[in-house]
Amino acid sequence: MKMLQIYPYDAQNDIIGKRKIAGIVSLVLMVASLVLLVTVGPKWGIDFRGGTELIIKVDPSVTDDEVREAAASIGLADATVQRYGSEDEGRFMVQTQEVSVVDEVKVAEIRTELEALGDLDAALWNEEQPDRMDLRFSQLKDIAQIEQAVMAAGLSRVTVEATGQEQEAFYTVRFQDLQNIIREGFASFFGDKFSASGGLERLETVGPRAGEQLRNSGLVSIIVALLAILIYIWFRFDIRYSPGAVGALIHDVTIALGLFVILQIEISLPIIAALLTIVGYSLNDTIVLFDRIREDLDRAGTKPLVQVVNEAMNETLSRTLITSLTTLLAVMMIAIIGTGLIQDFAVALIIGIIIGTYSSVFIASPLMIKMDGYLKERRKAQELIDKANAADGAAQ
Amino acid sequence: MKSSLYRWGLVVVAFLVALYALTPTILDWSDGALDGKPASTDGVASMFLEVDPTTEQITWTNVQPLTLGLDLQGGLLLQYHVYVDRAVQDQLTRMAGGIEERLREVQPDVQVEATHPDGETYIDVTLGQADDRKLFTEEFMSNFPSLTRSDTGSTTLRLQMDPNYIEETKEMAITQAIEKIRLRIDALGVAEPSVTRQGLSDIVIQLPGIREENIERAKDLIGQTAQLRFQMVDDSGTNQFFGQFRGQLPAGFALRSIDGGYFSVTHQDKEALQEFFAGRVADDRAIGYQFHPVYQDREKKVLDEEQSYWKTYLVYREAELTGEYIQDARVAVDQQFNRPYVSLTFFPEGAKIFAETTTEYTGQRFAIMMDDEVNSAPVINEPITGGRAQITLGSMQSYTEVQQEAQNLVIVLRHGALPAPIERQFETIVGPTLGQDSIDSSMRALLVGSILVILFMLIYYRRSGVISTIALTLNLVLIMAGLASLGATLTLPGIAGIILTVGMAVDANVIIYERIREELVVNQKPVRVAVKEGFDKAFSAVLDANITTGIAALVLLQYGTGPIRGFAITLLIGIVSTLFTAVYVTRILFDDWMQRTKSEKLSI
Repeated sequence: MKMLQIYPYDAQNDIIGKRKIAGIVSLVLMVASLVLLVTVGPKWGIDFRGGTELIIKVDPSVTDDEVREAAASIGLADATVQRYGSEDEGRFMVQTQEVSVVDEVKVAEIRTELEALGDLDAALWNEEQPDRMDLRFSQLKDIAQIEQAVMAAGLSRVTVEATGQEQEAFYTVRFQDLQNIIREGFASFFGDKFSASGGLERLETVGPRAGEQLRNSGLVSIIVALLAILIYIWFRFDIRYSPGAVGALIHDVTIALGLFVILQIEISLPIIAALLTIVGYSLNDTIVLFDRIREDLDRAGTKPLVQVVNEAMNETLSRTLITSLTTLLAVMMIAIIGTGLIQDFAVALIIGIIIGTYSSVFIASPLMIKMDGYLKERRKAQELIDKANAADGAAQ
Repeated sequence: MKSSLYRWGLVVVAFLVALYALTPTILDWSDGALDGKPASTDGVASMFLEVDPTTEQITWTNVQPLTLGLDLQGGLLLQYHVYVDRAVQDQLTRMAGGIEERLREVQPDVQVEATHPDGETYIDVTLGQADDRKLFTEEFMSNFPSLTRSDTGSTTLRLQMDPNYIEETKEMAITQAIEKIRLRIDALGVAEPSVTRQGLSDIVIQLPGIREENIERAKDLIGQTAQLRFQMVDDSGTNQFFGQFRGQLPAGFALRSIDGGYFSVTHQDKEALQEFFAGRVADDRAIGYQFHPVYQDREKKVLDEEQSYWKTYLVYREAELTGEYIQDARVAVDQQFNRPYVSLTFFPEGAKIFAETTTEYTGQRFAIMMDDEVNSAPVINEPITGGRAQITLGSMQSYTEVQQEAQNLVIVLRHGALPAPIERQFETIVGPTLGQDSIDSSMRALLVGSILVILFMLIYYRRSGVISTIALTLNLVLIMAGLASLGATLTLPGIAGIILTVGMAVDANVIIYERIREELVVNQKPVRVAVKEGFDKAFSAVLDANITTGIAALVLLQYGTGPIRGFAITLLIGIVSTLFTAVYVTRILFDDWMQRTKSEKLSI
């Protein structure tokens, strides 16, 4: 029977023998990743950090510097500008920490201006609703007067309205919100080069508190997923397999995160999804191998575990290679054809597939052998203790 | 052979069901855009949709077409956090003030200090004299039914808020916020807006396809807080005012006699009424609008859209009282008539105003209004001086309806003017071009990726590769059908989920085929035995691999937000259909093949 073979079915290569070298390589990579994560730190996306991110499409003749200039003219001093997609697309991504027009410093300035009007009882503002400020005076004030005072603090486009009952000097000041200012700012800076080419394509604002919440829930989801998987494997296989499977996953996630730092991939919500996909994928590989080890062990007799594991590896290697290859084919296409977000997602997956395939062979199984050895040692020790105790008992 | 027929039956049924679920999507897609509007509404399409003859609005019956997520079709996505704890804290602070003032009413020279420590759910009361404790009579405490008293010292006592009431207050803060936002968004006229609750205290608002000029208005509307007002109805002027339009009303308008003989102008549309009355009302009067629902099926709450209408009230523009003076509102049941009613408690100042108003206007109607909408307009039966009021509701309805209505009114009364603060968390605007670009490129990636994988399978496994191609195609159809029947939306991460599933489905086939090959090559088994053993031995690996991925997907579904959940749902549907197609369908195809062929060679 003729068939294409990627790896011979009856191969008996000593794969497990390389586990020492592989272990050292992995350890070095993991330590390096951890060092990178602690020193440089991951580049958190807007989802997790809070701030404003926008993608604009302008005439292809517009340069990075012009976009930067435009951002500065709007008042986004800390904005980072980078090209998004190829050069002839004319797309730029602009990111800033700002989420609202008014912040604490600005509020203090406004307050000073308002106090100059006299009779100010209270000027309330909080971060939860940064676009408004509530004022209470002890005397009725002219709305235009309040407006002027607020504008004197360097703000444009403010509306003031009376909100109290008759004869109550309650006023609400509303500031133009940041998204509007950005939208209109770019439109007026670039004119036709902006609106005719597509203009604002995406504008996203995430409050700082929301970012923190998301970061936590992302972390929780990864930890919970790992625990659930650990328990499932314990239940489906036995305790010997659990540390191997989870160890491989921790290995994958750490190195993947380290690579994200090097590749400057932003950790956003979809990247967390990609990380979990990596976890799922690597696990898939590990389980196929474990499944084979379990099957072979049933009829292994007195064969040493290391040898059984090596045989299982040889038996499953062609499948592992083919699957990695086909999945890589599909994901590569997304990385090449896809745009923006989905492209980052694909790159993350490619990294994950490579690490995941490697770890199921060189991390998961050796750990499983170690765990088996540890359990045997413990059992032996327990037997010795039991024997000693029994001897003691007999002596007495 | 018979069992084979049986097994094929299941596959055919699954395929037909999937096709049925996908038909609306295919119809919708026929003009190249997934916009809910198919190219033609005749023929097959007419079985799946209904067209409103007047507005030409299309509604899909039973099965919905797949809709595109915001990231693919463009639009506005907002997420708000509702500070539910703040609602509770506000309530306690207000109650503490109420206790002091009410005690002074009973005994003007009493020395009392009621404080509410921030973050706690009780009120501490310090009295000047131990003797003053007798002021906390049962009758006094009945003003604060949600507080339980305990003595903490000779002159101090603590009033603890009932935990059920706290939960109720939180729930109400959210329900109220969602309700209010929904009402306001409806006024925008955006197609298919969605306002949903996420997690415990977040609200997600999706406005697909919203026009740019409307974005700012939408955000303004959502951020606004509703103002609750009590305004007197102009009973003596009503009939004369509305009566003057007799015979002059345009088509669609009607002059009806409602609520004990008072005239009212009605129309199906609130906007039409607003337009008609603009400029026709005296400066010190205003029009209040109230929706009058007519049900086709009361039990199921099916509205008769044709018969339902809005009616008008002529009210005084100046408000007698606003929601700020309300301390508490609860649903209570009249023991005598066994009917629910709304019990209101005012803050002392509000109680005073309310007493004056009700004394002055006994026998007249007052309208409880939110913006320009009348929530209800009960008659003042007698002066209400105790700071507590009862609002009885329509007498013609069933108990549950009255209960429901009272509950709604309570929500409005409690938080109408004082809702829990909301904070904008996310805000995403996706322009239509980016959406189109990303759907194009990801669809292309999906297509090219699938073709490459299929090509590989055909070259590497030859005839068996054909089988997996068939299984893979069926798999894609099933996933799409699953998404459509769940009413899920197709998002970018969702497409990524499909791609991942395709990878896993191929993997399942690879595991099986490699095993069959191994049995053939290494163990030299005959073809039929090798196929059987290959499938049997590979099954546990395929199953475990899919289950563990499923566990990860479930965790994502639990903790993830918006787009991530889309990814998780697609993955879960994909896992089920992969197990069905890659294991079950492939197996049947192989078995049939084995029965037909005499060859001792296998094209694998």
